Amino acid sequence: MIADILVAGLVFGSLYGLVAMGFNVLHRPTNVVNFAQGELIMIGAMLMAATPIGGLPWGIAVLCVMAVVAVVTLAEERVAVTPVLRRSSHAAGWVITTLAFSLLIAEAAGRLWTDQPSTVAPPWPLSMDVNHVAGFRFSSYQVAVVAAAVAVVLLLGLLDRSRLGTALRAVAADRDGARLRGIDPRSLTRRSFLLGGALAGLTGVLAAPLLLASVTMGLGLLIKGFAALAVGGIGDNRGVLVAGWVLGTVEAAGAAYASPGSQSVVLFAAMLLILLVRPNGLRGLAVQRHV
Amino acid sequence: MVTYRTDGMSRRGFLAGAASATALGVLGLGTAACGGSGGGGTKAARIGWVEPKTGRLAAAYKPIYVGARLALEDIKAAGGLLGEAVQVSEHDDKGSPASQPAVAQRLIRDEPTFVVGPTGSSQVLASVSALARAKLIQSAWGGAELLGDGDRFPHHYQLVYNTTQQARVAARFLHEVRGLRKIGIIAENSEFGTSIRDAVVATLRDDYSTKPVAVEVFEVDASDMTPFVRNLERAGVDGLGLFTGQPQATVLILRAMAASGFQPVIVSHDLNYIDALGEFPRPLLDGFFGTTYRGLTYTGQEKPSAEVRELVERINGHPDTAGLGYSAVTSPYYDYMMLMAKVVEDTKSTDPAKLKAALDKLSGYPGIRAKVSFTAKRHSGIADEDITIGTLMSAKDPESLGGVLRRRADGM
Repeated sequence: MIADILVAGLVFGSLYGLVAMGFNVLHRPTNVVNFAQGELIMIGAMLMAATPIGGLPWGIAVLCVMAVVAVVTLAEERVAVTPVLRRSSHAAGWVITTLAFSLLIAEAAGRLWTDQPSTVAPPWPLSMDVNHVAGFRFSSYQVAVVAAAVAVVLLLGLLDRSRLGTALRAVAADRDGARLRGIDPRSLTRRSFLLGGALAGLTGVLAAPLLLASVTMGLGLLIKGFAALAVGGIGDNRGVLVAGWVLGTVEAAGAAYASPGSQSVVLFAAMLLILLVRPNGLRGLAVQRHV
Repeated sequence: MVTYRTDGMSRRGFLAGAASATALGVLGLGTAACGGSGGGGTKAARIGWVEPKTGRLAAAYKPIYVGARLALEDIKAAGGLLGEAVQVSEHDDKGSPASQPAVAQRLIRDEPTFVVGPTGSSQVLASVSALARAKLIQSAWGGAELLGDGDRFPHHYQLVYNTTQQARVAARFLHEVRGLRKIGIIAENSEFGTSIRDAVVATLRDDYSTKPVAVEVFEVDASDMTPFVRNLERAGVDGLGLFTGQPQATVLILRAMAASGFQPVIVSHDLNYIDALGEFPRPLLDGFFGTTYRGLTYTGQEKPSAEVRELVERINGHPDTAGLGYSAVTSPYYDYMMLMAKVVEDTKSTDPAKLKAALDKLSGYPGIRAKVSFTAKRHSGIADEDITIGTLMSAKDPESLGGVLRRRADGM
């Protein structure tokens, strides 16, 4: 039983971590938490299940999905984020506008698709067939999802150390100051939304074989990804992945051992406890800002 | 120089943002966009119609109202009600309980002869509570037993079997017909899930002096069903009541079962066959049964009536059905609309008080799915003997007429 809990914690925690990483990518240059992230992931999964994209070879289909979701996310940036930030970089109107954008996506999805879930097969040679190794039961696709989440953390780490990453950090620290140093925050914001959208599309693609593609899948992932973000620490990609694993494991343990119907209570109680002990996130990272 | 610590966004700001988002979500859900015609002033019969037109599940609800639209065609073809054209006031409830008070206000203003909808136990409970004072005749698709309580909701008439009736049939099938003794329950954490879970536990206790060996309750957004299924397997469950309104949850539960080779006899309340079920081994699906109406089932000897077959053909030909003919035909709205047309014509009145008096004395009305009877106290109109168990995989039989009807399970 413990082996099952650990496997579930790692696999589904990786998805929660990926959602939280998507939050981070968009948050860095804008200080915006994108509440449409769950619906963007849903679009990614549904596109992967729908023809004609779903009928393409897997690699091409993934690229198409990432591109489409990136474009949708860029549209969100244009209509729901930039107009708010243009008024004031410290305004909190994005809370409403990003949520409104998510409602628009849900509305469109509700017109396009029913609530019937669709199966998405893993790419060859991966499969959902269960393997038994040393008491652990897992599929090759589940291993691939965990590996993909780790790979995304590493890639985002490389990006962080690049010239672009340095510029992003500068904008995150002081948007106006960065502009004075010749950095264009609006361009960086657009690029971040494109990247964040592509990551949301990838998350949807990875989630679809595990959760099934469904118009209802976005909200649950949004909430759990948000929890991973809070526990792991905003801006800390390694932290949010670890937080995703912790929350995924607590969720699976709650399902196995808690009394019926109390899994959510267990999950959020654990989250509160962690935040009480580690208020700056699991890894306790904080940014030193000099004024 | 001042040095201070920041995470880029303060925790206070982060939590304030989260709280604002939650508040906006609640407000968003509570806002019903409504359409339809305006106020009263005409003597023509007016039907209040509550259907989700927007929201993420708008398309999913369409098949459920196909029967009502066909009934409306039939009523119009027969010359309307009392010789007058029928008016329909459609209201969008977004499939949300929070929308119901606002929709109810609009319905009350419209003064309809009777109300169709809403759909979904939580939505219905919110709606009938909001409409109770207006004394509007209403039938909605909600399975909670209290919705058929004529004392509590004197103007709501339940034309679907309730959760207690489902529980009795499911328990009888597992315990008596299949002779299973290790019965488990897995249900979603919702109004419907809680209601039917309690009903199954009560039925096993009262009728069979036993109790379930395992009860699992999952959140509707649960990502992984493996821990719940493992608990059922460890308890040795050989007969399982599976109750969720989420098709995704059903598929994930079956997937967890298939992964461990766990194949109990399953009784669900949903016999929709969806393509995602195609990935599972046939023996698992052969053991999947569900509650349904006797009139919508067939056996080797008994065939569905000509009326049922005709309605199924019309449902299959309707563009809103979208392959979900089973949902369309089990919906209460065709029978309800045709019943109300009959009652209006019989009483020669659109006065809700007279309609209620007639409905409270209704006995053995031959609905398409089942006979319907009411008393002043009992507004749950479906008789126990009209509820049965069907097989899931018969959706693939030619006799199912395109996957709409179901073969009755052996012994039922």
